[in-house]
Amino acid sequence: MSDLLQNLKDTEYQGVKELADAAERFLREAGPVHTKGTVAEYPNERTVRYYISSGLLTSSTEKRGLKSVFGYEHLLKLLTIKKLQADGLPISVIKDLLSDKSIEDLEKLFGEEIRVFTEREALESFRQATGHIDDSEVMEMSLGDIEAAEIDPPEAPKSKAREYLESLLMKPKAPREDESQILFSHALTTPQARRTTPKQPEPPAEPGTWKRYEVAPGLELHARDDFRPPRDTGVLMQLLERILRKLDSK
Amino acid sequence: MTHKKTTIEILTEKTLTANTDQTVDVLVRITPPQMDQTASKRPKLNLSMVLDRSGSMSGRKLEEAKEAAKYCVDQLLATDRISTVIFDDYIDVLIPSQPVENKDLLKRSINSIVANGSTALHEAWVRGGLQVSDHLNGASINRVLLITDGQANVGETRVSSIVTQAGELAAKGVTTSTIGIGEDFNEDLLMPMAEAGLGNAWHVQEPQDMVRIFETELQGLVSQIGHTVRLGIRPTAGVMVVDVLNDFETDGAGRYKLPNLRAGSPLEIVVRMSVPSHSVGDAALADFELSYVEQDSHVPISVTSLFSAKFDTAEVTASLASNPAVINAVQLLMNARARLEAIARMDRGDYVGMQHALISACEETDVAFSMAPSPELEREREELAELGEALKSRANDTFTRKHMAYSRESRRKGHNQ
Repeated sequence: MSDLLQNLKDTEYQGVKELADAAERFLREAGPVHTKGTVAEYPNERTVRYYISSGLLTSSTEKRGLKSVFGYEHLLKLLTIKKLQADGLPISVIKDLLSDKSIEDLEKLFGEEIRVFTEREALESFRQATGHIDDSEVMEMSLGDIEAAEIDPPEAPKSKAREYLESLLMKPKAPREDESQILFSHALTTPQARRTTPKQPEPPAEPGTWKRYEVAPGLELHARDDFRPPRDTGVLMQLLERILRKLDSK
Repeated sequence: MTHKKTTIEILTEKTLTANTDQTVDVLVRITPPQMDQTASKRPKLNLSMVLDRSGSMSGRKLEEAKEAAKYCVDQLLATDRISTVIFDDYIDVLIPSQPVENKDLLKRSINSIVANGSTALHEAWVRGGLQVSDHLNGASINRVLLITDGQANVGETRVSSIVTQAGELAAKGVTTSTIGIGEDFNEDLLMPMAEAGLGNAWHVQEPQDMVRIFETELQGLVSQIGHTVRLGIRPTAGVMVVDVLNDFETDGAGRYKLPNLRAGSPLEIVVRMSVPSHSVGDAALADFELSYVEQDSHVPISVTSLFSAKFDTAEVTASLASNPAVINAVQLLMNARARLEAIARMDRGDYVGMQHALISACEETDVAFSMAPSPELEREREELAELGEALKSRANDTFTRKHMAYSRESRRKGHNQ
């Protein structure tokens, strides 16, 4: 496989499509590398754009006419992303893994000369133990574990600060007291105070606003306020990516 | 690894005069080490920006706040965490706490903010705190940045409760800084809230200053090298601490609570001492002990310095030149007090007394300037004169009050700009 890669060192690709096509060509020539059915086997234009917009792939710094020019590093990174994805690693973790990697590191990663994911084994044994084959729960659990291990030190699961703040939210809303009347009396002329109609402290049942999630450049998912998105952005991105994949497979 | 230490310098205006009781102003200058630039070992940040999008923010204020928030995103590293809570009478966790990885996506979210509604300041602050506390990390700086132009008018609105809560939360590891915009916010809420919350209080006078303020806040965070900073003063027999001009609070052990230490940013503290008569020669007057917790290592650090003064005859000391640094520091702190007094008089409706406080501060600054000319004192003179002028017309009182309150605070904190 590395010989095949060596031949591509000086090739340039104009535009996202050429890059995606080159990756596909390479993967077909190299033979089947993926065995799992969860990830699209070959990258296409849209997934490449998505990788770029989510910062997984760096965008090219060079343009020829309207088209971005990509090189060996881009191709190598794209191939590595695909490989790691096929290995079951979530996008957010792949991103951590690939940031600041040199070409040599990427080649090693891609060529499987080094193994990085001990979590992978944990995930496998979890799958076997629970009978989960491929569903979102398994992926999300492993993602949570990995992220927690990487970002937070092994501290108390629920901090005192959190408990305290939650207790503040539980408290019944305090009635307006004399103190606030006095302290704010000098503000009677301000625009804030002129808005006299007291708003209801609780949000009414009618949801007002919509949130926008970008699935891919030019494709957005709109969700109403009462929709609870996954708290974890990694999981959210995964959800969006799964939606994108479903669309791609059609 | 050699660790550079914080140093304590102790200065007096002159050699003390022998054989007489006297009151001496002692300048204690605490200089934290410079940050090691090569190691890029700045503390990780765990931030929540809690941004007011109530109706009054619409237009320039909100646009500039968004610019500042995006600027903030740009400055952070992938190892930092950020979240954004926006509020009017509804509270929306726009960006749940996450590593700062996809800056474009984060900035696009910030761009989508529009203004309407009123100000549920308290609950929004709590929600921001929750975002931070979910990922509380002892080695990080865990901070809520509350940005508002208004007053809490939905939910909990009692100033004392909110301030107490900010203190409680800080004790549990999440600090709070506040940024008040324009002239309608309540400085008597935002300043004590930041004080209790162990963060900084900022006043944005013009929307275009927003980015600069964010920059200063961030700079302060990334250069923070020590927290829980205390200064203990142990005078020798007969010597007494009469006053600490910075008006710092004390802890249970009588030690003064100082602002967090920032790399390369010295703290200037003036201690006024009464010193009994002493013959010509040297005498130890006090022991200063600075203690703090080092940011990256959590190690408690303590630096002690013995203040030993020289005494000489009146003839000799009269011929000596004064140390301008001491005159400077004393005057800036006295002016901070003058501003506080002016505010108190203004609140009581005593406008004559208010003017008087500012005028005498201005005159004292003139005298100090003639003895120790410095750009700081010159700026101070101009600012005090402008304040007096602005207050004559009484048209912009709420604004001037804020201006006085915030400039008093920055001087009092002893960070030599």
